Amino acid sequence: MAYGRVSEGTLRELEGIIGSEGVSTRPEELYCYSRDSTLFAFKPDVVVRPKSTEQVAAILGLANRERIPVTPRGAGTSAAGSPLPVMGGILMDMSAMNRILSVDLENQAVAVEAGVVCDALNEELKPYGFFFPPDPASSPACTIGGMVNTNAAGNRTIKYGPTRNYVLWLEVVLPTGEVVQTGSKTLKSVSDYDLTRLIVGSEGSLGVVTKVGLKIVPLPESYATASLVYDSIGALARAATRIRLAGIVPEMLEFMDRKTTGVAFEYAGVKGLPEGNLLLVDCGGSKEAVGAILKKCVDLGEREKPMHVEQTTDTAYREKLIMARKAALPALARLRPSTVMEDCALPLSKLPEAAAKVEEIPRRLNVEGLDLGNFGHIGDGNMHPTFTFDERVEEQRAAFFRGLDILYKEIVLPLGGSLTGEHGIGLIRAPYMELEHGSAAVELMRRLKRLFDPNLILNPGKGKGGPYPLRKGG
Amino acid sequence: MITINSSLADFREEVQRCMRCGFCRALCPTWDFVGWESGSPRGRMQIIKVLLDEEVQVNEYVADRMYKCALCGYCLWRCPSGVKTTDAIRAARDHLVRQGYHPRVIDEIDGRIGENHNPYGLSKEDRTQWIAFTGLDDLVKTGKGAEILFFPGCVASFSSRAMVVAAATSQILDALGVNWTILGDEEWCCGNPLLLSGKSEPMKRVAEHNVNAMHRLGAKMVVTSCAGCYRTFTQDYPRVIGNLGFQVYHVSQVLENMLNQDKLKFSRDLDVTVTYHDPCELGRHTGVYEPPRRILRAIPGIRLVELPNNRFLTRCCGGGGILKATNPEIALNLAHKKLEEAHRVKAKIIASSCPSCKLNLSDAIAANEDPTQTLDITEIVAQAMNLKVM
Repeated sequence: MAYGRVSEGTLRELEGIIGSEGVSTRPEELYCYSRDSTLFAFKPDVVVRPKSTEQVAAILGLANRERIPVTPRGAGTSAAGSPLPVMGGILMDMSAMNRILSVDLENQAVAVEAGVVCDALNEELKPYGFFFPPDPASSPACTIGGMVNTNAAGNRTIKYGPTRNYVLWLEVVLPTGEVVQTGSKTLKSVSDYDLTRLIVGSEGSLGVVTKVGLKIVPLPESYATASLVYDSIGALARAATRIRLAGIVPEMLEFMDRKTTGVAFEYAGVKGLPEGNLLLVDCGGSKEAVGAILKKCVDLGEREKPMHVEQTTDTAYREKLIMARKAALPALARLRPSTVMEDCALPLSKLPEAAAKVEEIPRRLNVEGLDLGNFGHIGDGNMHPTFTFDERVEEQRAAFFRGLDILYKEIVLPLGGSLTGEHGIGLIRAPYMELEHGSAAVELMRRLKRLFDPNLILNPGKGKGGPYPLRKGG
Repeated sequence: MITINSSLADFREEVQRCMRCGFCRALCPTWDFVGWESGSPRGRMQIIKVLLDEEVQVNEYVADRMYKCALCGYCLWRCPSGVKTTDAIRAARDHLVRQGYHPRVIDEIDGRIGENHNPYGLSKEDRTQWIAFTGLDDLVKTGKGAEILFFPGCVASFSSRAMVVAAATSQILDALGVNWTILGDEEWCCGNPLLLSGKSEPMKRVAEHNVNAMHRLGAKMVVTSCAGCYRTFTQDYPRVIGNLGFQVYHVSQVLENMLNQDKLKFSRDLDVTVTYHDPCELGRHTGVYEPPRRILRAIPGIRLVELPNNRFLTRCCGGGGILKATNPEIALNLAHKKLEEAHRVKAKIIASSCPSCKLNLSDAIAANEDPTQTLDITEIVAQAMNLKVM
């Protein structure tokens, strides 16, 4: 199906909708918006920055009429290529819709526009003693709209679950320009087909999320944190399993391999821990209980003979440790010029085996200059093998794509895992969709996509609605 | 290796290492105002990349983005990948200057520094006018041999609203019995505005002049009350001319040392809630966070409260990075935001350690008729010592 062009007339019409200050075709902007944190680059024809639902609806109405592709974007922190305009057209930057609309403590809920930044929301809630728990590593930059569209999760998922668990309702503009509200302000409701859950994780393929109603929860009274350093990833994974099977639910149960720990600690200024694989255990709760919970975790972790154990209740030091963990991906960029993170989810029982096999990938590829760091949410079976290489060297770039095949076709899917735990399919994982879901399920997803988006204008060429694979630029 | 004279081409690997995680956007003070991706530190790195790849040629739009940056260093500190963002932006400014795409005001500043050795264009004799203006003719000795050389810097020497900083520092040093002097009209602008604006070529001449003048007076220690001068002496001069042969301190470090030795004593109870704003060039750029706080905590009656974003997370007040010259509206808006932060913690006084911060915050206070006061740490110390300044 041929898409329409962004013509001079389209640009005038866009300027009429949101004003010339919200429309850009500057080559500098087109380049900046052509990237996320993957290797890919796709330039839009025009970037727009709407400030209201009405403007979003009018832009989509125009795009649908002219069959012009529209790619929504939050903060562009995606590690999947989801916000890249593969087919050109209109790039819709949602970051100007960044108002916190209400904080309703009595109902433990907030209403926000899609462009509100995750950490900014939590800064606002902190004085009230509340927070929005999903905590992706990109929380300093990522937007709530982006989190909804990827069902973002992060470090605290083991205890609180992903974004999906907190979304009460959504305001969504359909590709046809209609505005719908899904869900309810109530904590319980089964009065619809659960359109909210359908939109959550849909990677901008079904509609543009403009407003979000979120549940919030009280902040824990205090925290206690332990760092356990192991010589092998296997021992670390077994320690995490022991903690999990004991029925303890920490705030975080995270890991970083040796390579990642080194650079992340260098960035965050964490000193004095021996070189090794890090298991980070963070417990929250009442002052009385938190120390005892952490002690149980440490006792269990010590059975796998860590090289080093350290416990802290010092807020500043805890924040450094968490900052190091959250900076794992970009910190790996200290090692090589290109850094690409993957996002596989595994059955908990298979995680140690998968981690060991992932560690072998660079050796199997055997290309000088390509290596791999690994880190992630070991408590919920989600790890982020991260390739480090130089994308400008063709041999390394090709090896990276062979590494993806090994990761997903030979390790993750055969072990019963899923292609993505929290980043989305985007562009990078689109070629493996049928391998995980089968052709019938994929076809059903395509039909669902057409129901919402008959002209296939919204975020085409990737994600869950296809058509794919279209991994151009790879 | 990146040096002060690195050209834009030397930053190819730096910008390649930017993997666009977006951490730098979180508290970037100027991105808020631009909104477009190109106005974020991450966006600036991408623009430098396309300039180097020659996908885009330098133009006014590129210049706008590179000069709408306070060079506050938040992105530099925040970047997990270790990209030298501020050096890259400075190199981009040098590149723009060479191609003639820089804001014209920069030529004016450069011309004044070249001719009169100060960015105000006033005569070099006027550099010591602050002494008479503040009534300290009997106290300040110019150009005599002394162990300590006080370097007030251009802002505190020429701006009537900031002269109080030079005066307060002089009064305090005198009251503490220190053997000190100033360079007088041999003091040249430290060169900080040249570096920030993309005119780094004359820097070596400026640095050599000042350092030689300091050596001629036999100074073993240079003390400055200006965060920008402190940064330039400690970070940039060594990169231009190597070892300086003397120690450089910010006045807050000297006062903290005196406090530790029980030589700095306070006789007045100030009974006021104060917050401390970390000047970017003293805090993030050079790591001096605690001395001003320790001094403030030691003053009777001062209740020190922290701003929501403090120390390395401090939001630039807009007074730096030559932003006040190139984008005065943004600079003023940043100062308004700083006042809002101060209101949130119920501070009556915003203390700082930089005359440029003081001036920009004062402008926002005047524009808003805001009841908050902004005082340099030396002014507060002088008050607590019961010294009459101006």
